Order: sequence, then C-alpha cells, then structure tokens
Amino acid sequence: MMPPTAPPAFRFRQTPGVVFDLKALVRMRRGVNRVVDTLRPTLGPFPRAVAVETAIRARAPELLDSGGEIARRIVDLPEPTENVGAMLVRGMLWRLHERIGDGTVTAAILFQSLFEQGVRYCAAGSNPMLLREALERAVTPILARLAGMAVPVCGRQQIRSVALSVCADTALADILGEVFHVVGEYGAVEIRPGQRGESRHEFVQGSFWDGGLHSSGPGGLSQRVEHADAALLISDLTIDAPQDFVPVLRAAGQASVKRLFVVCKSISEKTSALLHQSQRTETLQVYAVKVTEAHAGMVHAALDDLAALTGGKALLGAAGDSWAAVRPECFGRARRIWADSDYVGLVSGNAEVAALRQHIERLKNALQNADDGALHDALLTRIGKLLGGAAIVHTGGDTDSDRKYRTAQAKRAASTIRAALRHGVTPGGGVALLDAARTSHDLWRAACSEEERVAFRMLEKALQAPLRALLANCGVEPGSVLADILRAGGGAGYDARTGQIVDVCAAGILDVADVVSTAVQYAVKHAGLALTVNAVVHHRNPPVMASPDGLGV
Amino acid sequence: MDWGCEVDVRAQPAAVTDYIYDVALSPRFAQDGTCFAARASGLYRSTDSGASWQSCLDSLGTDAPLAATAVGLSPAFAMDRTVFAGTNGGVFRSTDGGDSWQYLSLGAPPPVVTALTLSPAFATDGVVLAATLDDGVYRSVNRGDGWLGWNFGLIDRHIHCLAVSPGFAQDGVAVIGTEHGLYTSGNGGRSWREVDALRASAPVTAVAFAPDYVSSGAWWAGTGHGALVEMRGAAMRHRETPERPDGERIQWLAPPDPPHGRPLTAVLESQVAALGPSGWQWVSLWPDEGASITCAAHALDGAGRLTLLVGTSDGGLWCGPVDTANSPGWRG
Repeated sequence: MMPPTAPPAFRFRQTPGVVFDLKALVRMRRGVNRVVDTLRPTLGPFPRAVAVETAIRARAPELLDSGGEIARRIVDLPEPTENVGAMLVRGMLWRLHERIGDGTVTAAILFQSLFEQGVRYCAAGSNPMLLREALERAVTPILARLAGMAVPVCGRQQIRSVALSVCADTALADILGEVFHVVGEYGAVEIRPGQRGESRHEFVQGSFWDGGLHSSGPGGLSQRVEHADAALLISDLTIDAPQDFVPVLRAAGQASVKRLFVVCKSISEKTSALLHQSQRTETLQVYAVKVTEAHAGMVHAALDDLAALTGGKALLGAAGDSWAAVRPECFGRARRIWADSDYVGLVSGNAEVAALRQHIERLKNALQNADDGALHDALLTRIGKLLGGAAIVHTGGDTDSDRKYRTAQAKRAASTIRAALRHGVTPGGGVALLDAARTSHDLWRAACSEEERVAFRMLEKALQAPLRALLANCGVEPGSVLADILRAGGGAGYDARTGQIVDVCAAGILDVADVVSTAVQYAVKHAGLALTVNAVVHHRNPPVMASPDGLGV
Repeated sequence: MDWGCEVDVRAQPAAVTDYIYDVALSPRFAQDGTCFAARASGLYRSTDSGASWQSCLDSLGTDAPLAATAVGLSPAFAMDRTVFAGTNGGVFRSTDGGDSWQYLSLGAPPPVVTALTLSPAFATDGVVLAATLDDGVYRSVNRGDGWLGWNFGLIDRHIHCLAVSPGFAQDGVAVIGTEHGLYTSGNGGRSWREVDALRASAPVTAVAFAPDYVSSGAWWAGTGHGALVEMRGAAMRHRETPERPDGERIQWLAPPDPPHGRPLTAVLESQVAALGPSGWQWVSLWPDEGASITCAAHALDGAGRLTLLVGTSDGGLWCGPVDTANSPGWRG
C-alpha cells in the first residue's frame, strides 16, 4: 500500500477537454447570463450598485455602477465553458468601455437577447454562419435609422440632461451643463476632488501646463510671477553654465525683449542665481520655467503647442538645436505670461493664426482616428489648451470617498457630454431602440430570405430588451408599460422620476447618439460571432486557487 | 442726394490728422439728433444731427487729448443716457449723455478697444461686450462695473467688428469679425466658434443682423477685400459676392428692410453702395473719390428711412439720409 502523499497546494480542476455543438452554446449562454444579469440592475436613472469583493477581504468592497468596470472585475467562473461565454461578453464590454465609456449595459442586454435567441435557432437547426451574416446585414438599416434620429445638442439644459443621465447628481449635472455650454466639445476641463462641501467650478483664462518655475534663488519656488507683453523661449535644452546663455541674452537684446520666460529642462544653480539677480533689474528680467508631462513625447508635444500659440520656435536637443542657435525670431510672445511653483501659463499668445488653425486641425484629425484611450485624452487636452481657456470642476462631498466617487462620475459624464456634442443625441430611455425595433419589424415583413427574416425578428426583440430591463429596474411591470408606450406613439417613453409616459425629448431624457449606435453595433457583431462557436477547447488541468462558489477571483 | 451739412472739424482744436475710429447714432436720432464720434483727438458729441460737435472728454482733465477708439450707446439712451467710450487702455462710461465720465478697468495689460456693443436688453441685463485689438472679447454683465475676458475658442484675438442679434437677451447670439475670419457665439459672448464661410482667410470688417433675425436667421459679414457673405439659419448657408477688383474694404453694413423696399446698404472706403436688383452686385449710391471712409453708423426713422453718419480718415464727418430708390446709378 502506497503511503498517502501530501495534499497539493492547488486543487486541480478536472476540465472536460473539448465541449461541442449545442452543449457548448448552452453552457456559454449560462456564463453570458451570469455576467449580464449582474450588470442589469445598473441600467436606468436609478442604478443600483454592485458590490465587488476586494482581494483583501478585510477591506470594504468596491461599489460600482459602471457596466464596463463591473464586467472587468468578473474574471473566472467555476464552470469553464460558462466562463468562456462570460469572458466573451466581458471582452466586448471592456472594449466598448475603452472606446466610448458608456452604453455597456445596453450592449450587454442586447448581446444577451441576441445570443439567447440565436442559441434557440441553432438548436432548431439554423446555420449559425448564415445567421451571423444575416444579422450583420440586417443591422445596417437599423444603424441608419438610429443615425437619422440624432439631433445636435442645443443649449445648456440639454447638456445638463445628458450629464444627469450619466451621473444622477443634479448639482454636478448643473455644473457640467454650464461648463460644457461655455467650453464646447474640445474645451479643456479639469475635474478634481475639491474640499469638503458643495461642488463648484471656475473658468481660467488662457492656457497652462504642469511644470512651473525652476528654483530661482533664495526665495525658492514660493513666488508667482506674471508679466504683460513678455517673450517666451521654448526648448527642452539644459542650461549647464552661464556662458551657455549668452546667445539668448544677445538675441533678447536684438529683439528688444524686456521680460523673458525660458522653458528649459534644467538649469544649473549658478545660472539660476544670475537669473534671479536679473529679475531685480529693468533691462531684462529672465525667468527659467519647465514643462513636465508623463513622458518625453508629451513634453515635445507641449513645446510644439507653446510654439504654435506664441508664434515662437521650439528648440529641441533631438533636432540638434542649441542655445547658440537662438535668434530673435525664435521668441514667442504673449500678452501675459505667468508661472508659479506648479504651472506655467499664458494669455493671448501672438500666434500666426493660419498656422495655429492648421495645427489644431491636425490634432482634431488625429483625435478622430485615436483608438487608444490615453492618446485620445492627451490629444483632447492639447486641443483644449490651444483653443484657450479652461474650466476646473472641484467635486464636493463630505468624505474623501464621496469626492472620489463624484470625481469618477463627473469624468464619465464629461466624456459622454463630449460625445453628445460631437455626434448629437437621440431620444433616451430606450425609446430610440424601440423606434429602431419598429423599423426592424417593418423590414422583417419585407424580407426575402429565411435567414433575413430570422435576423430582423431577433433584432426586433433584442432592441426592446433594454427598455424592458429599464422598466423592471424602475419597479414597474415591463409588459403593460411597454404597451402604453407603444400606444402613445413615436417619441413617447417612460419618465422614471415622475412615473408618467412623456415625450422623452421634451422631458430632457436623452441618450448620446454615438453611444446607442455603437452599443448596437458591438452587440450584433459579437453575438453573431459567439453563435458561430462550434466547440470549446479547455486547458487540460489549469491550476486555480481554492475559492468559494460564485464569482471567484 | 441730400447729405445734410458737412462739418469742418478742422476748425476744432484737433490734431492735423484726426482719424475717426468709430461713430454712433442715438437710437432715437430722428427725434433727438444726438450722435457721437470717437476720434484721435477724443470723443465728440453732436445734438443737432451733426451740424456742430463738442468735445466730451474734457471733463477728465487730461494733459493731452485722449484718443477714443470706439463708442457704444445704450439702446435705452433716451432714458438712461448711458454711453461707453473705448480708448487705448480701457473703457469710460457716462450716464449723463457724455457730460461726465467714469473709468472702467478691463484688467492688465490694458487693451485697445476697437468696438463696443450693448445688449438690446441692456436696461435689464446690463450686458456690454468690448472687442479689442489683441485681447479678444471682454464682457460685463453689470453695466460695465466689472469685466472678464471670454475667449474660449477664439484663436484670432484681433477683432475689427462686433454685433449682437436683436434677440440677444434670449438667444445669446453674437458675431465678431477678426483679422483672419469670422466667429459666432451662442452663449452671450462667453465662447466662440469659427465660421468656415470665407473662401480665404480674410479680415472681416463689418457684420450686421437682419432686424427679423429671430425668424429669418439672416446676417451678413463684409470683408476687408470687399466681399459680402450672407448667412441664413442654423445651417450657415452662405453666399459670397466676388471681391471687388479694387479691394475696397467694407466698413459698415446696414441690413435690408424689405417691407420698405430698402436693400442691404454697405459703406465702403470711398463710397456707399447697395445691393442691386440681382442681389449680388454693388450699385454705387455716393461716389466721392476724395474721401477715405473709416467708419459709419446708421439709424432708421419711423418710416424706415435710413440715415448714415460717416467718418473719414482726415477727420471729416458726413451725416444725412440715404434714399436708395432715387440715387443715381440705382436701378430698382
């Protein structure tokens, strides 16, 4: 008899190897349902939160109501084939969250409905490949219908309505409505946790960058300097010795500059002390400032922007520039330049307008094509600075976590508002999708082939699903309220706050057009793809941490 | 054509070259005959329809003449007697029709004011917009007591002209013409969006709204090269006249008055012209080779007749009615 071996550190799960055909789809469907049913209660004007346990169980759970964030936390369902289904929908939701930041729960519910219906049709013998192609063809007129419903956002109240639909905080929605009514879709908006109390906002003239004064003498960095009609020399060079700076002083004299701000990477103490002395004279006052960004590429971008705004020329070490190359035409000008310990800014730069316009257009084109979220945000920030002015929103709250939560809500709302300003809005509360469902019904009647009829029928039912979920979340019976809505006619929807059937646009219940269209697109594409799965192959014995039942880590 | 009296302002104590930057007529000019001229030697006022002029800024007691670069009157001037004068460095306000003045700071560095426009509902909303040479637009919401610069979206801050819609208090629509183009605001002048309506990036030197803008959505912009752009509705449909071969700058636009048969009238550098019957050709109303017109303003009487006050680069001021139906060269 063999002696007993020590129990392994991991419990090895017996995986089924390969799962085929309908069995695979049915199990995947269960996984999809687990994820989507977790997100479902977060849809609507009264979203409920989902508590996500943290790795350290002694800590309070995360309370989330964003579909993308919640889906991302769901990592590994116990049953492996269910897990495959769950990960399929999770992947779709995270990509959607990265792209547009909103609409994830709508997309999840659409996916769930299409997948559920698709599995039944496949069980009845339909060809999933043909079904997928039919779905992708059928969605085109639906998207066209949704695009046709989009109208531009008009005025502060509509912007406020869009904000309210995301953050469900009237004070914050008022502020964001006011802010974006002024700065527009490209304007620079900074959202920061504020002090205890109410949220507030302010508008700042001109543009500013992180960085500020290099230490300029015994006073250190405590001062703020501001000068009118000053010059700006822009570079990423270092000033290692006072002699390096002589060409700059000579060029400044030739250009009749009296007050000069020099952007440089670093400055030696000796040179810094000499500059500090210059600040007491009337002949030429020089201040050394820096621009700091997350990485070198972004610093160069900031220097380019400064050059465009002020009509100057950026001196870059990588391009072989040096202080000896400074000429009077290198200096940029602005009506006001200021710097303190943290920032450097300017108001009314002496830009060459045509060149600045082209620079902004280039950045806007790059923004259109930016897939990466971080690149998108960086480009947006640059454009906002070039357009001049910024809004700062200080989110209030009684506790730190309140303020942090409000900051996250405000950032999501800001992203949604920008999309609304750029792409327009459609009737909200699921009404646009309901209208698209009617279109799908009309197309079903006119369809020629069996697969097309099936596809339009599936879409018709799926497009009603978000509204049904929203009504259920509001505590009303979805079937009867939906019947009332359909009876009331086009544009009518359910106002959860009043419990009435209203004209949703007139009531300010709006959705961002791009969010709705993209949610439909993603759901159809990914559900169609998921239905074509014929077999699921599992790792033979993947190690898993022993964990309790449920949504394990 | 009856142009009223030509005033020989060289008789006034003024600089030899007393450039006239801006002129303004009282909203009830036909009744009170009050008008103002902002010139290099200061701000002047007439109360007899331009027959004689008196200096307004003497009460400030400055050592040297203080050049006035812009002037704007309250729409309710007959009641509140409020006048704003722009200078090289700030704005002055009078609430007694120009007898005494109060300096209003726009902040540092002090801007050169090129145009002043008051909200049509100034009596209740107190909104004044000041356009500047290099600093964009300043806005006051308390009758000029405090000013803030509002330049979101404004990449060209060299402003030539500024106009607000007749329904500004409700719609917040304003238009500015800059050295390199045209910008509109829909939020009372707090932010600006460039209008991509010009074939080339031309200086825009005159803008005017139709009196029925709220229903028609029509407004016009004239350029420094003599082209006219018409804009209609939110979609910004535009037409553009060809630039004049002589490249004459459009200094002022008086919107048309179809019920009274009056076409759009433009004041150019050397003449006053109206749009011809085809709608897109200028017909000269007053050719005068000697003058170099720098600014103009207009007023309407109850019968819709147009009166123009025109200032020239050598200090001349011309004031009189414009009768487009009977002017030589006008073929209605």
